[in-house]
Amino acid sequence: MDCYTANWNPLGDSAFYRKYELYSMDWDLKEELRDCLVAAAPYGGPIALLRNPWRKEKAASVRPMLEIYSASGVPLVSLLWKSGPVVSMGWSAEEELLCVQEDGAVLVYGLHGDFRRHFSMGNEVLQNRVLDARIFHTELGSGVAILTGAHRFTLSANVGDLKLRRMPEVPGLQSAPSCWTTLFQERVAHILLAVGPDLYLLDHATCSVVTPPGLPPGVTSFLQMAVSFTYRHLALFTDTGYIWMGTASFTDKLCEFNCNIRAPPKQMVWCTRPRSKERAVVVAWERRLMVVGNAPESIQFVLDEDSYLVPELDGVRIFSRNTHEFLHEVPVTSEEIFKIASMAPGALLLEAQKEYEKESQKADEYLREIQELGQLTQAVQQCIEAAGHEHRPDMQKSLLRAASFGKCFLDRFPPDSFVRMCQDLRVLNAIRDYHIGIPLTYSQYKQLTIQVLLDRLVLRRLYPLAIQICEYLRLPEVQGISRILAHWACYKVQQKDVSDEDVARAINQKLGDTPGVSYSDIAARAYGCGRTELAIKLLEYEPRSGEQVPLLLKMKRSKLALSKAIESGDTDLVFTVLLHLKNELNRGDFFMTLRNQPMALSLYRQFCKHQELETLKDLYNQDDNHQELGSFHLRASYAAEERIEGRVAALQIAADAFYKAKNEFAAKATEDQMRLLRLQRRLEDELGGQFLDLSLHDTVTTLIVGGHNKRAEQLSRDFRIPDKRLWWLKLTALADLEDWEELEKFSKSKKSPIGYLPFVEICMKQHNKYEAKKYASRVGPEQKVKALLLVGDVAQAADVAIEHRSEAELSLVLSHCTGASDGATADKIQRARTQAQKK
Amino acid sequence: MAFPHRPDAPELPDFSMLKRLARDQLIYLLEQLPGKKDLFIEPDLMSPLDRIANVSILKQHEVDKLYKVENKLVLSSNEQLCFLVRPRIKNMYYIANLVKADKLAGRTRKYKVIFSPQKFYACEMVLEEEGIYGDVSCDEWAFSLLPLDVDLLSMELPEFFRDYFLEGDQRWINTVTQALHLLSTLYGPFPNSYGIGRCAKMSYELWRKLEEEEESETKSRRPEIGHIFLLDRDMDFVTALCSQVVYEGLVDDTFRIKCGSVDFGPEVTSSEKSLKVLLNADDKVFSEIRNEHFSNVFGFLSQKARNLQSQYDRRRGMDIKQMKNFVSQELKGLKQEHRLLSLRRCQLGMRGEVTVPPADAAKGLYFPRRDPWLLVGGGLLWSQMGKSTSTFCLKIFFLWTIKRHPSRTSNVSSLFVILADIGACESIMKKKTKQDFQELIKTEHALLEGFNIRESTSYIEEHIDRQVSPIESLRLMCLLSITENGLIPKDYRSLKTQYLQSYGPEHLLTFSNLRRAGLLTEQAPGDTLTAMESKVSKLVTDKAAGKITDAFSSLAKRSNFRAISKKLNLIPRVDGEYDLKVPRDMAYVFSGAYVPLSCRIIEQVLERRSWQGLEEVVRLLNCSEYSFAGMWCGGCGWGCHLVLVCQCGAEATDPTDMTKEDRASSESLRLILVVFLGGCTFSEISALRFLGREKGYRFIFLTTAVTNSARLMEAMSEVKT
Repeated sequence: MDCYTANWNPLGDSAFYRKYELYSMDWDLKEELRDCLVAAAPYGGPIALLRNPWRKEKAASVRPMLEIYSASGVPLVSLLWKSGPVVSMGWSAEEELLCVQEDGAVLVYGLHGDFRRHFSMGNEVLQNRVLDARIFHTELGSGVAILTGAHRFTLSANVGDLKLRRMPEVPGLQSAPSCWTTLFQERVAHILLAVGPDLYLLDHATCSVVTPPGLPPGVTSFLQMAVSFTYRHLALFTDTGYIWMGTASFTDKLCEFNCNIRAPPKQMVWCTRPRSKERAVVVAWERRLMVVGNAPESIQFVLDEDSYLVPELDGVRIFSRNTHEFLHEVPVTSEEIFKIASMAPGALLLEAQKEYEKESQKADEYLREIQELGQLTQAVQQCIEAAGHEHRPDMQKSLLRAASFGKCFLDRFPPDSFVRMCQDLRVLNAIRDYHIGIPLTYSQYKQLTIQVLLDRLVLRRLYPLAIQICEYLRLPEVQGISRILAHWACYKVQQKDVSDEDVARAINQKLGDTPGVSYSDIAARAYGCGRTELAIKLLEYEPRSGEQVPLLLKMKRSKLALSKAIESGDTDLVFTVLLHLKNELNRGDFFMTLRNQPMALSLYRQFCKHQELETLKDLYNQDDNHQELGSFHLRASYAAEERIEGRVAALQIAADAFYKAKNEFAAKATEDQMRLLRLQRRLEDELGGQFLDLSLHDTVTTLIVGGHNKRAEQLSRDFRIPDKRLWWLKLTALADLEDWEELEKFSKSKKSPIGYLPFVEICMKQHNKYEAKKYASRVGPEQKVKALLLVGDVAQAADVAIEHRSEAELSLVLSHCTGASDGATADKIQRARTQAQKK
Repeated sequence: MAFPHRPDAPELPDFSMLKRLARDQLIYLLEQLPGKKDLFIEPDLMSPLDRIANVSILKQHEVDKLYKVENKLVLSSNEQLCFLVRPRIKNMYYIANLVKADKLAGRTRKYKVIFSPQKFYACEMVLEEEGIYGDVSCDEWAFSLLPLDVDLLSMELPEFFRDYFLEGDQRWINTVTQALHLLSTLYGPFPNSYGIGRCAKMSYELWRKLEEEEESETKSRRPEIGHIFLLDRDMDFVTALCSQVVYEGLVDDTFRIKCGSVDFGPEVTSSEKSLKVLLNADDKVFSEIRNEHFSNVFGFLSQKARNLQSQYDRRRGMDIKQMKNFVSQELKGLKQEHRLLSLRRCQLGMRGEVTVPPADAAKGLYFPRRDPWLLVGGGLLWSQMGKSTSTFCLKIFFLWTIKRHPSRTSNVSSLFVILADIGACESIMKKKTKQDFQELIKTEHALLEGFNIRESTSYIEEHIDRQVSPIESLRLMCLLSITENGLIPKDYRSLKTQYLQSYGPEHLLTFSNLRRAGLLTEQAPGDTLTAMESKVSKLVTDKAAGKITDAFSSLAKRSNFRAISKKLNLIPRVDGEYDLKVPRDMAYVFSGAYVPLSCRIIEQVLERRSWQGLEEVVRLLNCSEYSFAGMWCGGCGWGCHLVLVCQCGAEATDPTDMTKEDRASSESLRLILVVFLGGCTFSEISALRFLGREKGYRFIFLTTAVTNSARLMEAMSEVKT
């Protein structure tokens, strides 16, 4: 541990900078980096290399190779570049590679070299060609800025939602600016460019000259400029070898440094960490790397080989042909713990733990010292935090061990920070592995969030690792495992060399019915790849029919969609498919399809009943459903037709249909109705009054009430009205007319088929006791008592009942005995009862 | 009189939450259209809406004027129109016409359509075809469960019956599923489920699927309701077709209870206005008599009246001051019991002197005309009691007795004297008493028991010939058909002919409907139809072909009522008189002549906790494929719901052998939700309430609508419009 701080380099009094190796790169580079267009994504992202043949004078005869590597140099893909000359490359926030061509077209590739899409930066760019381009990241997304051959700038702040902005002209700009960059202030992207001694800031509308405060005179040109990761700071490198560092808004100067090197640097990037007061810039020349900040001296490194700088949130990554290093300011906690002769609580705790392992009593001394100062909690926290900033697992372990040791002497130390740090480190170590190659620092990881990290693993097709991380961190299934499995499945369906069955089976085996996985999404992807059969197989696993059906329709499997919709029991879904089918198929086929699906058929019938009556008729015709056809016309005869002729005609069709359906009863009834209608019409013409639409019964009643007895009789003969009905009908009609004379005549015309009790009842109902009594005498013996009671002759009723010796009748009479007058009768019945009982 | 529940009977869950939920959602939807708006309400939704939110709530949320969705166009001057409708095509045309008229007039307004309980694609399509889809915004008010009473939830979807059982339209099943899902989210999962019928099975399966999809937290919740029983109406048409003789059913048959309340027309209230009375468990008198056989109700009421009379008699000989004192002290006490009943009795006591002014009767206020003391008392009482309903139970009963049962009127003549004042009685008598109710009941019982078929047939024929009532005649024909497994061809033809002659030829369509629904069929000569059916099912075995046989099945369906009745012992053997005062079994709801089939099935299945031993009955019901029983596995935490063994491999726990910790949930196991798909009758509700009291269960009823024989028949009828 003596040499732990060996690679620490002080900058000024307050800060140390250290550089350590992330990976030794064993990529097999054919070209020198300097001959290539290089694009490395931040947050430990992939590196893209495109040998730049267009830079050379002679036109390239060979097509260049585009190669993509992980940050550890593991090749991901290499493909032949077949498009036009590329001016610049960069990675978007979603880790898509954007290649800006000379003609202003931007080609978008995936991490694995799969072509995604392309877009153009506009006509003006096309005409004037691209001179230079930058890909930049803002909170809005990833943007592209382009400098055209006409020295004008065009930019789009978000390539996901492409809106081209042509920046205003810089007055008097004749040649390309010596350097330029994009700035992002108040949610607007700006361009800062240097022309000779002047700096111009371009926004959407204006071009303004800006002057950095405190810039020494004598500057004739700016050679390089750098914006910090957060767009808050700006560094300028002048031709005098002077470096100005200040805020990007040009309000303050932070510091300055004169390095006395007049050669233009190859790259200049900021190297700070969030919430650090120290500001430093890393400047790289061909063989020299310099860290400059608010200090008279700078830190200098020698570069053995061609290197490339990648700015990060909390430092700078430097990769070359052989190594990949990380340069950053040593975090405060690490500094406190490891600084030589540090007395910080964390340092003491670490020491105590080491002594404890050596079984030395010094451990106790150190521990006491911390405890006396009451700093044990702080010490534990420091150790935990410092562990996060260590790259090497053994260092992480020893710090965590120290924290754990210290925790034992604390009463109530919340365990979650320790546990979380252990988990985070485990995840970080896993992804920093050479094979994975995502060298994230703890701060970057926290900034990126676990969700995004998982997305990136999915992008790299590292599904098992992603799932393991989810399981390890116990993420909810829907956000975690399910999502990853779904991505995996979507990738799986693109493997064209595997048969449909195998893919479907593999997917189902893995996914099972994991909650939150949508088989229909996967199927949609399969369909997108042109694998319709596979899509259908996958849809079989989809439990929600609502999701299956639209895709099936899209794939033109309407019949399958129909049966699925029917299975779902969701009528709306069935309806959607039906209307789709109706447009897709010709009428005959459509009806045939319906025929096999009774549920769909009944639904469609319902629909037709309301909207397309004619179609309904066709539907029945097609099916030879004469019964329903008959019903249809029958309904039409009173609902749709107005004129009598039309109605009769409709009835005729209905009758024919009924015959065809072998429903003779209905046919006859319909024919009778035709006859009745015609007759009613004639009656209306001859007698006046309202006859149409009356039932047969009512027609006859109306005739009788109107005094047309002859006609009534004729009608009842014609339609063979049964005697019973006729008697009831006449009885009611005559009683209503109060034509007692006619009623009596009628009652005597022949023996009543309905007996005479109804006569009594109806007379009583009209309060004609006199007439009622006439009929009561004619009522048959079984109903005599009832009749007598009806007319109020209780005494006689009692006599009859006694005569009949019927218990039921006796009690009926008894119940009618009310008031004093019936007292005698009641007694009589009681006597008869007791007599009957005696017998 | 009213049987108390067993002391260990479980408490009913609080269903008022459903009302609050519906109200809040409606308010939310109304707020979506900020500012003043006119609300157009579908007439069918008015009563349910009334139970949820009153006018003042609507006004609070800036509803300006209320209109009925009718055929005529309304001239509304508001800039925003909101329509609250059922998803029906004709409503869409109404809205379309309104919008188009506005367009013609060059008016632009905001239109919002709220579909309840859900919107259908077909409706949106009509809007689209009419070219106004872009002009209106659509929303759904998922109000599908209205608690009509403490134990009765209604979906208020009377069209369910016709749509599903006649037209074969399954669109409401989704609504049922959603409603069940809502219940299980609010009241926990249902550990045991049973069901019978196609619709029941389909609803159950879809519901389960939905539960699994939603992965709701219900699975971890303690169940509040232990059993759910789903039943299709077409399993048991017989019960629904019988005349109801239990008090509440009788009121429904006579006056039609709509959405838990009765509208008394002018002929009842004898005034200009009609009167709305709410009938539910909150009304103490009503809740005591609602489940009683009507013959007991009178005795009960007169007993009550007598008690009050004796107290009231002490009033005699008092002066006005004493009277006032009496009224304010004594009657106040009586009021605690049966406030209005006492008033009622006051009038009885003053027979001959007091008459009831009809207009005041309508308000629940009785001013004796000639007795100033009573006037004072009545006024005081009225001011104290506000609005109450019990009187109307009495009144309905009297009116009904007069109407249906003239022979009894001599016994109640003392009551009759007073009520005769009300012109309504006479008018009802004149209009409707064409045949004796006793005869009707006798015929029904004969049909149920299967004797004197010829006599019953001629009775029905006479019924038709005399044009007693088209709906009643139809009902009797159906009852005959179902109990007899179809009519013999000769009767089938002659009854139909008679019916057509009486009521018009359009009923040919009605008959075709009834045939399709299996309500009125012809006995097949021999067993040809069944033979053909079996041939078809032999030929095609796969699933799709199964559906074809389904289509046939309704035509070929035999009701097998007689055999079922024998198997399940639906006709109790009665030695001597059936004591309706102390009922022995559920048959009391039909005067002891018949145990409702639906209720018997439920009883049997609950007893066995499965369909085991009922296979023959299920077969006779033509439901071999459509009966199911499922058990919820609480063990594995996944809430898998399988018939026999749960997915996790653990045996489904038998709820009967529970550990002590589960005692609390054993209470829930005696709460049973019965779902009637296609409607249930008050008789069935009464029968099951009785069963619950006997066995210590509590039943909760969920029905697509409360129905009765007349409603069923009307649903099947084709009427000229």
